[in-house]
Amino acid sequence: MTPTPMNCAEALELLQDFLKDELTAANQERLSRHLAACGHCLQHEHFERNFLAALERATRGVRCPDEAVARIREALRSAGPG
Amino acid sequence: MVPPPPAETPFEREVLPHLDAMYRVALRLTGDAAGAEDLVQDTVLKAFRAWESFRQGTNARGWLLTILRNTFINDYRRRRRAPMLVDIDVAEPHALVHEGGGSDPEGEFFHQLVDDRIIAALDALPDDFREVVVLSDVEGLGYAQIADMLAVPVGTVKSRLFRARRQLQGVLREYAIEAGIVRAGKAP
Repeated sequence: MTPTPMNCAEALELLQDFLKDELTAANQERLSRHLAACGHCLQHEHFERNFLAALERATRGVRCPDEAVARIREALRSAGPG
Repeated sequence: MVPPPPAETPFEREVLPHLDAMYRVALRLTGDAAGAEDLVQDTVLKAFRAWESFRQGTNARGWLLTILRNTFINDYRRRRRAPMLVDIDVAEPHALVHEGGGSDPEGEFFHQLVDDRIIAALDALPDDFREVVVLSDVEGLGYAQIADMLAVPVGTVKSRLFRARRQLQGVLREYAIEAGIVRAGKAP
């Protein structure tokens, strides 16, 4: 059965859930079809993806400093056997 | 002679791999490296004492981040600064559907912004907004897990995330315009 087509309003409303993989399979499919056919919504999707990629790039590289890791291990040893 | 390092305990095996994620979240919550290190250490020690309540085979990262957030709210936020309260129904400086990137409607400009600019914009978000962005978009947790962690309905997580992203995008777009990376206004 062909799924009900999605309009732009619904597509933009569901875009966030789509990008987070939180849509039902049916809506995932409907939104994918809409994006394949609608340049306007596809532009929104690219905008969001570029935003998320830049945010991830700026933040994900941060690591817990080695000295802090050593201090935490030490604190655990003092706290007792695990 | 240096003694061999003691073998890792089950607790360490489960918890230590998540130190980076804990530190990233702690850094965005506290806003400074020293506070973040303290918060991570306090969290690990609390987790250690609560180890029996951890259900093996479940998601340790979610469990740890929940402890971290509770520790932050109970022990840190109070002594740092008054929480920034937001009426999320009126905190809507940007249109529901983003204004686009002006001359750059696909948002390519995001890639030209330096990390520090992006982090400054993230840190300037109200607390409630910043934490959902960090948990969702930086650490990749799902709606349900964040809702559990924050003890709010899933719908609240979704709407906070939506508004937080709009606000952040608006600020970054302004940076991009100021820096001459994009021109304001609608795309041709």
